[in-house]
Amino acid sequence: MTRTIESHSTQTRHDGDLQLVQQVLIGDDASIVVFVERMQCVPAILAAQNRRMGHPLSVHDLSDVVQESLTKVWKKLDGYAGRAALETWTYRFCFLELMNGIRKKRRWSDSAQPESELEELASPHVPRAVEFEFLHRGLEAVGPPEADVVRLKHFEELTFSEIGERLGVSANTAKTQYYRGLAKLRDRIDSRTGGVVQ
Amino acid sequence: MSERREHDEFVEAVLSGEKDPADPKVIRFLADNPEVARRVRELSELADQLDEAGREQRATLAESRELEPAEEQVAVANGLRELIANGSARAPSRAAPEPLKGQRLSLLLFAAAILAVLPFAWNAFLVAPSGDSGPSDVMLGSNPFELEVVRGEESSPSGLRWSFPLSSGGWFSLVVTDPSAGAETPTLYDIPRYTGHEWKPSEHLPSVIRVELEALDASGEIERAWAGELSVPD
Repeated sequence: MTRTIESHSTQTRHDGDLQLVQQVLIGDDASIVVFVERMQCVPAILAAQNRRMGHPLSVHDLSDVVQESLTKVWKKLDGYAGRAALETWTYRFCFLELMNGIRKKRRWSDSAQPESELEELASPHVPRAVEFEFLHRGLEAVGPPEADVVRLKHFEELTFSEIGERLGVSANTAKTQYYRGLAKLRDRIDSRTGGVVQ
Repeated sequence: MSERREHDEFVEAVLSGEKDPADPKVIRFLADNPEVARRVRELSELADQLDEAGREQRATLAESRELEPAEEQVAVANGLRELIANGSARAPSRAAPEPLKGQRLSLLLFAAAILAVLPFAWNAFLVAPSGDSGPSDVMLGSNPFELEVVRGEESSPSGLRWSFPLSSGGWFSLVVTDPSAGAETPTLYDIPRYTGHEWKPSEHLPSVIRVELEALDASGEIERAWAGELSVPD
């Protein structure tokens, strides 16, 4: 039995990526070669994220996160619907795994750890990333179609007409889904933090 | 149209840009409806945060495209090929795929050989402080949280309770995993922000759980952390 991806009739601007993923999921050798090549973005994205956060993770830690991210991407691959470029879709899995990696490393901070490492972990960029993590995790929980609309609006800067075209709905429907998405995300934040998001 | 629906549509129109917040009519409506004004303010702030997260994502992706990886290509290729070949990492709810025709054994052997040199390959590419390797896997010491498992009532799952004075604006991070699953250790719950001192799972927990609990201050810095395994009463 092969993995299959849910079929959908909506037009996307990333039909090529969607087709590639579908071929990978049915085990097409040539597509796997191309997919593996495209997934070189994973270490590059993680290296860039780690660098922008002030290197909270070492080379050794980051190599573990690469494997975790690849595993997550592979697990979630049948959820890819072509609404964003493959690399953009991959970003959030890399980011969330990187944050998990940082958190895991921080758990050792009560144990004997060199002073220099603690300083790295206290990078001023990390708390800001925690806020982004909260938004990304919240959107994961909100789910499609609302979370897709919110991502396309804020992460890809599409207009509602473009979002509607991408998702195969009217611009007005996209606006309504956007509002619902924001409201659901806000409710999740309220339930978790009592409304506190710095 | 109900008043609630009318207000929702008004907020939607402001957030989507159909209505200009600087329009005197809009300003007057918001002044007359403080609850709607609060909703607009809250969701606008959230939209601003999402904009910032979006800018960060685009900047990071642009930066990643400028990196020119070399040796790590082999590591990624084989890490992925191993996943594809053995199929062990697939979501449990999904049907397992057939192995790739004629490739499974050779891929696994190739992957095993390459994975053995993976850490060395990475050193050549990733930009990071030198000379720091990860600490060994240690369990933290005593329980600073006085954490305990609270037996659930009949047909209700057991939960956790802890006592730790959270600083102003701080929160807890709670991760619950199932240690019986061996190396896979699936995450049952991952709650990045939590301000309560008692937590109830939505489903029954396994007999032994691994709990990782952190107390963080308002800036996201960890104040205390504890990790360990706990027995859950039937």
